[in-house]
Amino acid sequence: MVSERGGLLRDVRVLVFLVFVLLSLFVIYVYPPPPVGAGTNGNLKFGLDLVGGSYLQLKLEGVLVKVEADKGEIIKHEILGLLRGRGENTSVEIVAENETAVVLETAAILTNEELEALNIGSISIERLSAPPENVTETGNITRITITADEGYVVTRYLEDALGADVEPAVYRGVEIYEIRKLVSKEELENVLDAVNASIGRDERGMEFFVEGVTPGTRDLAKEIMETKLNMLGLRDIPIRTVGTDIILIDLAGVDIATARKLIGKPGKFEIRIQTAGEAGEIKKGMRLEEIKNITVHVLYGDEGIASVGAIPQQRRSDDVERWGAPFTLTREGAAALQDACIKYGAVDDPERHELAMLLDDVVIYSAPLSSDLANELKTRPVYNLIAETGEGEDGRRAAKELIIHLKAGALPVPVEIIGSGEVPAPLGEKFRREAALAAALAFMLVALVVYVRYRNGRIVLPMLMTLICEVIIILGFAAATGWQLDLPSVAGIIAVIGTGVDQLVIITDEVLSGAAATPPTQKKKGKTPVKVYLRRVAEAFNIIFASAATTAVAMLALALMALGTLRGFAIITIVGILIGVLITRPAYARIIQEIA
Amino acid sequence: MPLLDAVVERVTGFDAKRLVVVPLIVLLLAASVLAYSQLAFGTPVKLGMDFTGGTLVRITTAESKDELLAKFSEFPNVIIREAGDEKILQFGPMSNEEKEKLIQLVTSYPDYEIKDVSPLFGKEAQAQTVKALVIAFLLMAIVIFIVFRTPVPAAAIVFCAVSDIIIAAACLNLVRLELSLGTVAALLMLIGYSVDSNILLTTKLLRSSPVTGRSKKSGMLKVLERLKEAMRTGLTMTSTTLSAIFAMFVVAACMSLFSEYYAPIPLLRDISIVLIFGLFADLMNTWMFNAGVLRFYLGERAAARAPAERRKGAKTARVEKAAKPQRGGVRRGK
Repeated sequence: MVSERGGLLRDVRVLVFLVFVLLSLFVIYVYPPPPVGAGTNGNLKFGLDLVGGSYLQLKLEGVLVKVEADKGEIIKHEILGLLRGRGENTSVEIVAENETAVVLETAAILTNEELEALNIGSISIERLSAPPENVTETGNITRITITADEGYVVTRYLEDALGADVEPAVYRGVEIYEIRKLVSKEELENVLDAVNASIGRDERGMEFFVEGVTPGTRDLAKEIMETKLNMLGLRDIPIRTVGTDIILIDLAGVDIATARKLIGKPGKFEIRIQTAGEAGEIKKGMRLEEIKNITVHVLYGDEGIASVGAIPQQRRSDDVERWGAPFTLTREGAAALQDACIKYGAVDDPERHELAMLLDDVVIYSAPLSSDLANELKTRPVYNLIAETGEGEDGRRAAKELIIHLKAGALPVPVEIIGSGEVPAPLGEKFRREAALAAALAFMLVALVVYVRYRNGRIVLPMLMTLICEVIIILGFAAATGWQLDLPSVAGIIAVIGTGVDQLVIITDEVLSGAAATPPTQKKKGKTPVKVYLRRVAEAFNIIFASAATTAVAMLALALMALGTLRGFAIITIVGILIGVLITRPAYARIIQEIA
Repeated sequence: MPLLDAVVERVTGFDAKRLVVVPLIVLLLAASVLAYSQLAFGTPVKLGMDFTGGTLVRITTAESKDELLAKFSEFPNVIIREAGDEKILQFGPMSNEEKEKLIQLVTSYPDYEIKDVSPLFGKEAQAQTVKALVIAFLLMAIVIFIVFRTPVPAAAIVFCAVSDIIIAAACLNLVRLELSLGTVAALLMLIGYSVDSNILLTTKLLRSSPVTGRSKKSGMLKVLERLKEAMRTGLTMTSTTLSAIFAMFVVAACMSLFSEYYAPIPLLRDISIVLIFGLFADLMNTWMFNAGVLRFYLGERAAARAPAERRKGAKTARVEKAAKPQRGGVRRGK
């Protein structure tokens, strides 16, 4: 058709259209160079349901809550609890309170150690002589000054009362507490009632109690999972987050049982000490079997490690920044480490007696004791340790990773698997074949209907060519953005074939009937056929724009559904509509005018 | 195309009021199906696993249904459906330990597929589905009102979309298909599809250029002319869409019955079934209900204007004559 009408090629709409088609073919097949053996698939990527693998949908469990509390009340409550534990019923009064400290008085005698065990802030105690009218058995009053800010006190209180990690955080500009466990509102209200506190309200007067976690915690959880997957040699696994509490993981080529094991269960963390062999012989990534003969067991993470620092620690020596992962041993852990270091001679010859750390029987870190640590271990157990990882940005990143390993890959919050599934590879292959078949069959049936309707190859052929090109541009978009084509996307493509041809039919009918309906009387009045075409085409485009807009908004609602399972359908449909309205329809309208 | 013309002539030949009644009766029937389901089961459409939670397993095995029932009896609420060697087992929500055990058992088959949805996910999906439907609807209605700016035609389009969805949902109940995420996507898509042909119809009939005015009778003749033209285009549109969707249905639902080379694809099957029902409902709603309403509406409008326009009688007659060739114009082509 084009060869007959050289003028077409000079039309900007037709040119844009052709450029997009060529560009799409280019990104699919030429650049970036498609992977070897991709064949006709080129750079197209396929979703899990078309290549096989499993998926997990995880919900991070936690609660974000604003708390209206008075730290004095909380401290008083804690001290009263301490006294009740001793069988005393003495009263405690708050005598002064400001931003940084609380002063309380009680007739009971309390020691520094007892109060420090409450872990509510730094403490100082004075004994005062009571005024005469207030003489008690001991004759004294204990004045306790506790220095702590409110955030710290509330955090400690909630942690104890709820048995969960609690972190103060800022969420949507509001100071809140993140409870890293799912608790019910009632449960929390009971806990707060005990200290005359309540759930705070937001600016609209609604109680600020949200199930979920902060974006920071979500990203941390995502990072930990990425580290875990890397450990297993599964690189480039897409982990997507939806909202603040849902994580979606697609594990191509992994079966569902393995996938489910990855989550939740923390790994086994072990520290071993080198007993034989040369310095530097143990390397990261070695397996337990390989080093079993030259090392012995020192401690396991779950009993030997008390806590792990949240962020990498920095140390400056000789003008270089060295990074490390801080962690604290338990009493038993520290004793076990000291015993082992003395027994196997690490305190005298650290270089040949490295400490090796293993996660799930794979070495993740190995280094000798520093000389000062070796010396200190000769005389007493050491609790606080730093595993140094190196200098600069690399060191910091390694330290961050090691921190995750030290926690044995435990996630910051409990995780619930809310959905999972597997499409084994052979089935995915079947699906892929069928998806292609469905699209081809849809196209053929559409072609048949259009042919029966117009019975004119000069109309039908351009129409079908346009349709094919439209699908090519959609695929080009998918290749360019790295979009994974999954079954919902295929449904979207078929839907676009269905709607795309609709719009071509509208244009064709308008143009044809415009051509036929231009009566000679109107021509005399100066209304040339071209003008009638233009009016007709303009009307066709009004209809097309309106219907495209409605379909697009309906699909937008689907795309925004947080669970995201069908996002492929929605996105492909919207993209298809946009490509149709902006690129292919204008070109087709121009071509069909030429033909009619 | 004779068939197309015959259909067009037949439908447009009816009286506008009678045309409107049929879709209303169908809508009423569909609504009562949904109401019955609401009363009997608590939801207007039976909720599938995506919304209630549960585990779906598909395996290929020569074992009989009874053998499988015995083998999987320790898991809650087993339902087994079979199509040849292909067995679909559905389970109710279960504990994590049971799930691990089930997965172990299932993965021992050479050919399997597993999908597991927690009730929590299901509840979330329910809430979001309702939200998405409401948002999609509101946005669609806003677009329609902005485009047409006249209340009666715009309201008729929105009404058609509502009716399409209600009828499609009722059909789901009648063929015992459960609501899945796929069907929800299709219902949303239906909002877009159903509005398409209605927009075509309304735009054509309301077209401001030479039509409006003239005597009531000739005005209505012109409206009928336009209606027929729109209907030819619209029916072609819907048939192309239906054929594309039908292709999806055949591949996703039927191919596997004939050859082991294919496996059913529930997602595509669900989407295609809903769209097929919805598009048929839409044919009725657009070309009977909406067309009837518009004919009535334009008739009223023309009647209101008629006295003022009568003066131009002679000119009108000429234009009317001139418009005649338009009737078969589309067929002629080149």
